Amino acid sequence: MLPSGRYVGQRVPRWEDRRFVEGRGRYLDDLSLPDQVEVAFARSPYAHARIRRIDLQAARSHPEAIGVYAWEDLRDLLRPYWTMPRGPIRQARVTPLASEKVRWVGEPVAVVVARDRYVAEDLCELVTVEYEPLAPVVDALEAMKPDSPRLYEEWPDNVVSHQTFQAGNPEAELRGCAVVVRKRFRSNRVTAVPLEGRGVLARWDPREETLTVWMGHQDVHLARAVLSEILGLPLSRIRVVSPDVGGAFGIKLPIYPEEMVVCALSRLLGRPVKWVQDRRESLLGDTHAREAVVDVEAGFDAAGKLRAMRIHVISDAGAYAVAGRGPIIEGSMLARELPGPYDLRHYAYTLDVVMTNKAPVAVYRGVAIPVSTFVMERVMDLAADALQMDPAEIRRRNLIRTFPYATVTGHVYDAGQYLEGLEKLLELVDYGRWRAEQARLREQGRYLGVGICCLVDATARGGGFYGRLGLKAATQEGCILRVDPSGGIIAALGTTTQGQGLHTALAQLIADTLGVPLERVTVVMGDTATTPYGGGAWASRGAVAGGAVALLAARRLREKIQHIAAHLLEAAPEDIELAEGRAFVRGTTARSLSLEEIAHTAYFVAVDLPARMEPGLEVMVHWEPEIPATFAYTAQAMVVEVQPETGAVNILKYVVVEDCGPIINPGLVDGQLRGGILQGLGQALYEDLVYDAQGQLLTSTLLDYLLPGFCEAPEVEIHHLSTPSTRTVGGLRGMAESGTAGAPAVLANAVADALKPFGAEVTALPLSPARVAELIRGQKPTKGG
Amino acid sequence: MDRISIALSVNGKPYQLAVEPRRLLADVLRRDLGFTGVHLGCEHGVCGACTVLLDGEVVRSCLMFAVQADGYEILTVEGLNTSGELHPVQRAFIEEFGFQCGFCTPGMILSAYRLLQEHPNPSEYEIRRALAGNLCRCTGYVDIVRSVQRAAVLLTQREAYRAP
Repeated sequence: MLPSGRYVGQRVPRWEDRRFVEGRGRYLDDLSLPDQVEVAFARSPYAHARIRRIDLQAARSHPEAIGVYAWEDLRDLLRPYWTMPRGPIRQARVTPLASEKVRWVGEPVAVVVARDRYVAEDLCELVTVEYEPLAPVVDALEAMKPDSPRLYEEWPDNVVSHQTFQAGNPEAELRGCAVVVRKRFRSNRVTAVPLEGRGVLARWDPREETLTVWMGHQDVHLARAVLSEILGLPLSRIRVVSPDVGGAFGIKLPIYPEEMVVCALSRLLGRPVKWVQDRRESLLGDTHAREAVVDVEAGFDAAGKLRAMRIHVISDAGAYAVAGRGPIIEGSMLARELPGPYDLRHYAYTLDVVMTNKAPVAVYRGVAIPVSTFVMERVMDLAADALQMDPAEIRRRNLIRTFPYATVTGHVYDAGQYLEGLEKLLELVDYGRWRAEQARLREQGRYLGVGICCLVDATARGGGFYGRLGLKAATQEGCILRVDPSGGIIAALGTTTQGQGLHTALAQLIADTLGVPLERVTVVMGDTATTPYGGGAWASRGAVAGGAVALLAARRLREKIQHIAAHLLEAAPEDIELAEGRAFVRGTTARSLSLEEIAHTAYFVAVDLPARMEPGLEVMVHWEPEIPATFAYTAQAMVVEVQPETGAVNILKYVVVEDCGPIINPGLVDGQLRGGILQGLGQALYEDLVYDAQGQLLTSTLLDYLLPGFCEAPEVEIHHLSTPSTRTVGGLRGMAESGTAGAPAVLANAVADALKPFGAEVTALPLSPARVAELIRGQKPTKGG
Repeated sequence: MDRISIALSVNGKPYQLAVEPRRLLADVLRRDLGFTGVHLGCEHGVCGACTVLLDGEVVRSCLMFAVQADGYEILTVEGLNTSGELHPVQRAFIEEFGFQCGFCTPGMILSAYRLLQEHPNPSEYEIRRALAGNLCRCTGYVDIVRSVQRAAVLLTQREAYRAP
């Protein structure tokens, strides 16, 4: 369990905050170094073309040019790379600057170094590239056709990974079902859009032959490992530091070509080099996510029990694999985890991960779960319709009730209150009342819809999944915890934070375990020089894995403190209590020692320590969750009103019941949920990366790619269940993605419910006003739905 | 490119400098003068992270050339705390968890500060409208609305305390 004390479970304000409200945060672009130069990239205007010739002469001869380079000039400094050297995936060599071919609009082709970005962009205009345009492959279904142009000519087709899975006998089961839902679902391509774009500042020190790289990143240890391979530099010569980070949400987890090139240039030029992305570059070239076509056959018996499912997932992976995360993760998670919180024994999937001439796809908050939940929850509602059953009732009949539960694809859900969560949700949203209201208003020509969704999200993945694929992405986490000689406490962790408030949450755990005031705990993250190896921040692992190592380290340190105090106070260790920065003998306040006194002894008077005890007051702990780590459960309900004339969707009520186990800081948990939900609503309602037939991105500004703002953000009521995980330290479950994962499904179900009188079918996202209007165009509403 | 001499007052302090006509006000504030609380999120006026007050009015410093600000008084987030004590709007954002990564926060705080000058007791609708030009990608906005409501209370209390 979590420690009890003054802080854990409280809405403690964040330690990080003061500098942010005063404008004293230090984000990547706030850093600069003497003698620094800046770069801009010349990028491909074509989605698919052969490079005939690159002419850098005009740019190079400009008096303001410090350097102008194409791949040929950098090939001794950078190695072509591939991701996922192992696993069910085809290989393609990728060069950080395009060498023979370009495969997406925005792909970097050349780089210009100048005194600042203004000049570097000017000089990019002087770079001339002769292209031979090739037919682009923009749609994944088209790309799978045998006569489709190939992105990688050495491949027989554009499918980078083809996988199949079967458990039980879905084919036979489907034949015996009362109802079979057969549908094609489509999910839109979106990207994370952290308000701070990506950037990198690299400094090569020719004296020490070391490279220091600053970048807002989610996993500094992974970044260092990837850069070491690509730059051909030993790990020990590279230090990666992540300063304050203005949001990341998954897109700051890979290592992109720009970062590789900037590091190489710093080495080449022997001076600091910086690149800061603009928003167009972000929308064009940050990893995209979620674009998939999912064909489903789902069979239910007459009682509404899900008997069998067969699905085919076609995952659009874009044009290449980014380093640090590969193109198959999204599709394989989608296929494997689609059954979600429902009991299913007969399941088969086929997965095709397909390369297209679009930006690369990797991970974004929630990864595949927003799509799998959208599909599964639409299937539940469509089956309920066919069986004339209430959507809540069909979920009751299918939610998993006994734990631990082994899923058909091999996960183990350790513990949960799935049904209780749904019932609580229905009660909180006042489900019956809204159903009555819906019927009443329909008579008046107003269209309310009520949607429900349930989901599980695999968080803090463990067990070396990535390691076995050949990626250096650690699923373990490390913590060094030290009481310094002044009694101050420093915790260094391998993970990072991009605004989640993790410093504070970890400090709360440590402060309560060691019985010290919160202010005394300093948490250090995001610097490979000062932190132990860890896996960084992804898959909601900050509290689960970071919290685990912080807790384990604090417990171990507490034990040592108790032993020293017992020795010095002539008491038994089990009688020593830690509180208010002191060690007391239980039952008396007269005999105590301060933490400073104990630390002083540990460091400077080690002869006074118990016999054979190691001097110092410092521990290091590494921990890795089992496979599967832990699963967070969420049930969401939403009431919407749809305006048939405009297609606008107005959210009237939104309730979330979530279970992340014990809560360290409700302020942080609610913030993560609300923020995640709004990102999910962005995907559900507005966000869509649209490419034309030539592979040009039509949504390359925030005027075209619409993010939800103040006026679109609903109030969200949040209710917590707390089922401790049996597989993590302290019972913690991750929760930062479940909001994002559920919002598209619950909104789609609510809109579909509202549109029932029109006979409209909701099988694709986003449900933008134009799309909703299109769904009901020409349809006369039927009375009563 | 030829440079043009301009005079700016930033947070009450005068500055004389020569800038290229194409140089953005945001870059001059951030890079030339060191007010890194001015953040650049989109550089096309949509996100509001670069918000500053120009003679008291909310502007996007990424949509202005510095030469256009010649002679104006500029307030950045760094100018709110001059006494060593956080401004009530800044305090309110901390108390109500009004941000996560903090990148949009300076712009949010300045927009809220300006709103509260005009409407000391704004409705939720007025808050959402006034801040609609500022994007946040972390919070879901609800906690920011609460921060502004809290700031209104703190400011009213401060005024009451100051009154004779």
